[in-house]
Amino acid sequence: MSAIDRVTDPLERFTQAHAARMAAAVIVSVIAFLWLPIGVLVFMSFADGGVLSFPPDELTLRWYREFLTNDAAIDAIVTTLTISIPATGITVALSTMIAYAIDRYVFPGRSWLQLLATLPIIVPLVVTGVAMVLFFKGTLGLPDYVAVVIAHVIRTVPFATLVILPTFLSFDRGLEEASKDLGADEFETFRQVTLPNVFPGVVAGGLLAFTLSFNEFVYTYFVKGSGDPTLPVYIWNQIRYNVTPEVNVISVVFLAVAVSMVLAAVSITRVELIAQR
Amino acid sequence: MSLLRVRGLTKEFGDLVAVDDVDFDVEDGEFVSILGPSGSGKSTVLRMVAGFEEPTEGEIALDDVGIVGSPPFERDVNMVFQDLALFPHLTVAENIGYGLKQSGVPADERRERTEDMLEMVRLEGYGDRTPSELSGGEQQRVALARALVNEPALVLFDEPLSSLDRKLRQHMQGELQRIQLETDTTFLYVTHDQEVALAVSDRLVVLDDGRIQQVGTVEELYEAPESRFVADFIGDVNAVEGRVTAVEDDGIAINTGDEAVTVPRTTAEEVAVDDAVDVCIRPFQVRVESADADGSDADAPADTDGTFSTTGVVRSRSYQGSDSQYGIETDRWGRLSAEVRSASFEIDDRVTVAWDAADVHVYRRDGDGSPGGDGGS
Amino acid sequence: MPESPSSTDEPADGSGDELATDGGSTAGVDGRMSGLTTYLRERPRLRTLAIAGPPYGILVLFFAIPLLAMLVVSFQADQIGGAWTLHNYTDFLTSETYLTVVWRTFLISVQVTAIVAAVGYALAYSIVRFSRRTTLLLLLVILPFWTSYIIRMYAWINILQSDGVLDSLLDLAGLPALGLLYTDTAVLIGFTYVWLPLAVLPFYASLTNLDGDLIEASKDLGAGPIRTFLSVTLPMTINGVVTGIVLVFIPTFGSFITPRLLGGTNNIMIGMVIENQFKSAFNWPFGAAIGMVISVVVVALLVVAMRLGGGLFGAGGETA
Repeated sequence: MSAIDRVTDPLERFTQAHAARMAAAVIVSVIAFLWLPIGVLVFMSFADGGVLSFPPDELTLRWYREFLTNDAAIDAIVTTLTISIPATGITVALSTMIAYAIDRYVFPGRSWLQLLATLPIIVPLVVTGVAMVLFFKGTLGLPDYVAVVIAHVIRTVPFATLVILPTFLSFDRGLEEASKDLGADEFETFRQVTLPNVFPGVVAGGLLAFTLSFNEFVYTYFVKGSGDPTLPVYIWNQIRYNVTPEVNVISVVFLAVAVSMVLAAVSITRVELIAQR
Repeated sequence: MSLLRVRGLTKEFGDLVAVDDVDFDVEDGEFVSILGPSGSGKSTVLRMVAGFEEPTEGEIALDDVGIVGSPPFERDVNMVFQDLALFPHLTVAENIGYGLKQSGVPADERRERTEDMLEMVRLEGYGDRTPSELSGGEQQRVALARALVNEPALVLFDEPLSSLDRKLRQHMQGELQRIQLETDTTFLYVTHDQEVALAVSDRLVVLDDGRIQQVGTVEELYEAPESRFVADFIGDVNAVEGRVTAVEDDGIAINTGDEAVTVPRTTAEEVAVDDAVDVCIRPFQVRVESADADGSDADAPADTDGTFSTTGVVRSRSYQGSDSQYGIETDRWGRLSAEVRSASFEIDDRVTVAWDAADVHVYRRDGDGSPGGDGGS
Repeated sequence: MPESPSSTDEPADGSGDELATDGGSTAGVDGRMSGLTTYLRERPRLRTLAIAGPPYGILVLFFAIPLLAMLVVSFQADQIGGAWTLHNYTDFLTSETYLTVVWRTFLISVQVTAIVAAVGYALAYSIVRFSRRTTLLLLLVILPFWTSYIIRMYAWINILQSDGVLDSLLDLAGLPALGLLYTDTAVLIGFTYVWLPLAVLPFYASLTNLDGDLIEASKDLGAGPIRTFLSVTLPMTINGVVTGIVLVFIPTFGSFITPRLLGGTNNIMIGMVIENQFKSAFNWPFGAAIGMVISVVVVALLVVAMRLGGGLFGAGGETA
């Protein structure tokens, strides 16, 4: 430890000596900061006294019962699903095509395609939202439903591509050569070799796209006309105008969807691979 | 009629000529290796035979039928890939049965032939495992079985053994030879590793910079290399610089310093008076004797009657089983290496170094490496 | 075993179609698909167009063109198709109220970015250098990012409102209530909460790619942990830092949800002004012009970031 002996600054010495403990403190406190509010939400969904009182007088399932008999909330969930499910399907198809094209082909505009598939993440949501309502409604006069589904596709394609592209890039194309060498043509090779190997990444991309679409608010808020709100828009209205404890229950629904989808996605791919790319 | 006939094969990638006018044949039942350093174009040749690359020019015929232009899945050749390319999502048995499935072999026959093949490569009972559960050597066997089970006319190998450690590689070499004999299949094997190529091949095709340097049996290449490149690449070689002073019917006089030595005409490619040449000699053909033992003069002249000799000092030694390899700093020709059996010298010992003129091979320096005379000793 | 290829059961001259259908798998579809793949194999341009064309077209038509349309509309008076005018811009840029809002938005965005960068980097560094359970920890960090943004804001309403969780706990401890909801502090907390997971990913990625030997080499050469961090670790991970900063600053600058839900009525941000134009004032061209103003700020930031950190769009990969 001669290197340490040469350091004379007491602050440097202190840092060296206590680095592990400081790191543990940072990890514990930040993760607590991230999860305590979520814990509070879940806890408050069982609180009897309503949103405004803490600690609650007693715990109850009353808000869950009210949620299940609340047609407006159930309708909002159905509306969301009728948008999110087709949007997810379209997104998975498009993102798979993007990943395949970028991985396999060299063509003019290839880097533009990659840029276009990344930009919606970077352009502020409110800007894209405004642009979409102007063009979809003002210029094209698209019906509400079509406009919202397209908006969700634009919102989810970049994220799905980010998940699907690495699985194509890391897929060993030698396997396709081996398959063709053994007598399988292009279609059989795609069906029997390529697809089974990239499938986890494609499914993970789809799960995350669905989660994102289920939670999507800003584009929907701008593009969609009044009436038949999606669940996030319904929640927004609830919070802004008449908060009921039921909102806590809906929060738990959102949480359950997000956690189960993300855990499913993570279990079939490796989250680190995505993060390290 | 050759099983595989390659004529005028050329492949250009943009300005780069990766394979340049290559001709060779592979006979039925042969084990032929394409040997060359990395970047020599050997893998490209293999990939053109397999159908993964289209030649820019030239012809490839399998069993007298041209196959250029047909996709890989329609060619009656199977490849053992460098990284093996075992399907990670399939079991060992499914990997081996993959080709049979593509050609419509019914499931029970497929199972039977897969079992037979597992037995052939000594992996009975491994069928239900996945490739990731196998060791490197076992994976090699699966890749081999996967290619062989289809009973192709020709099996191609793209350096599959290069990832194995030396011991396992030697073992697999033996296995390859055994399986080739048992199945009576034709093998075309690509490698940069001369040790592997020499050990397993009936014939070798030596490739450098996209061009064929020499085609022949192991003995021919080792004993009569047609170019300095082949001499260097197949086994070790010492080179002594010299200049041709006379070309006679019975020999060529070469001055390697003070005086000329006459070497047999057959050892040289076409040379003319005043050509700069390399006189090459294999380390095992170099004789080493203690210089002090018989008190001979320390600066013996180069003999003109058919022997090269000089004196020097031992600078390094390494044991190689029964032989010892010595690095000797000679007074006349710089550093040379010698492989000597049953003799023991110490570092700094003074020694005499000699070899027969009949054993040398002479190559023009700065030559284009084109083969000239027959060579041979 | 047969020596000659003619005795093998695979026709050397068979076409792709025959192989696929002979292959024993189901009939018609495979055969047709094989015919199609054979057709496309011989026409590589068409094949590329068939794969890359649809997503390209959709992204251009429904993402790039709308942004251009917004630029056009921002020069029109009162409504789409109105007379050409510069008024939307001159009105905005000469209004002290709006310029104050832009400045406020900028200040808040800078504060949020600084807080998130510091905390996020400390977290990523701690995970990479001092933890073995990186996958689990990373998962715990990013999971909250995938729940609804509004729900996460709502959680903080629960906590920060007067008589909410925080104040009640302070009361139990005998401390005075803070009543943080509808203050700038609440807005900062809310932004920090939503962007922290997003920023940790690029920090984490750049730190894992950093060779740990470099840090040990620096210490071996006599630099303490702090000087090592400043002279080796931070410079070598600057790309990740820049990416994280961009990923936090840009959405903060355009946000309206967090200030609307957590901020007070005086704490206006520029995103809320746009929302107003579309949800109550119904002056779309003016909204479009403000959208352009935000875009200009964003582009300026991106240019600076590119200069500092290089490959931004490669780094976009870390946002999932």
